[in-house]
Amino acid sequence: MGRKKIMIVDDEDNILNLVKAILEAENFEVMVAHDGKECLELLKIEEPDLILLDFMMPGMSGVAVSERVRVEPKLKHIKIIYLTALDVSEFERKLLQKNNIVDYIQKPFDNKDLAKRVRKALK
Amino acid sequence: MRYAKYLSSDKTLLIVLPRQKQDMSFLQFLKNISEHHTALYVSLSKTYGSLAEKFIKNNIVLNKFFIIDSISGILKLPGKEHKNCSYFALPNTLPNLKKEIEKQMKIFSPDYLLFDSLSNLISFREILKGECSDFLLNIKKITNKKQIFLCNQGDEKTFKYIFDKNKINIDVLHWQ
Repeated sequence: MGRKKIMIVDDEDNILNLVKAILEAENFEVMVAHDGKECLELLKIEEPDLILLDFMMPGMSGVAVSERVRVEPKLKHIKIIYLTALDVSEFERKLLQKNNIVDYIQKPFDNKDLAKRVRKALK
Repeated sequence: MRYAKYLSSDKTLLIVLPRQKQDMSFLQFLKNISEHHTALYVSLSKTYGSLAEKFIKNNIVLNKFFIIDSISGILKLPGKEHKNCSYFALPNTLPNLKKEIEKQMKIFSPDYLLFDSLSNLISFREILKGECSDFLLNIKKITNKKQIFLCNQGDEKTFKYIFDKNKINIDVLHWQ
């Protein structure tokens, strides 16, 4: 079986580089996008198993991107983890995890915890 | 409390928060505020639900704060009605946020205006139409009550420049 593919979408280069390094060390194949538009463009040619998606990005918000992914028949199976600095309650976290949204990781995150939750999401 | 002098100063206060582990010490700051004062808390980083959860866990008196929650709307979370909360739905404009702050300052009449955070104000720049610089100047004009702005470590130079440009005297407190 090939390596699992993960797309990271974030407008902050330091986050992209850090998460990319963490996931490549876990032997995942990693691709990056700097905003929602670039993510949707990449999804025309790539089919990741999981998207790590920031909320606050220039142009399209993470919610708008996840809604576009969810309604597209070819993409709706792709799992999404929100990766965001926005702080919500435990109850709200559960509310957000519906359809293909499988987790909500808050920045700043623990590197090992991030890797563990990505592995869990892909099981 | 080492920051007491900052609270008693007439100047606007810019609190620079470290990116890691910022929650616990800042909650202690809020707890100290709530012991003797009230604040209008403008949140561009936490939902009302999240703040309420943290306040309860840390024995902070929630009704010492009125919270303007700008986050639940963007996450499409159902905002429940609470007597000490208003929801500011995004996308929206900075002039409208200023109007909402002005309205709640008049109704709640708090001792402090607390803005969390300027860093997120910049992150939201495309959905909150308006100039950050004009917004800060207009907020300054709303009230003579103490204004406390938060920002992330690394962003403070930008905001200090904006405050200086608008001739708003500030104290900068680097939170440890």
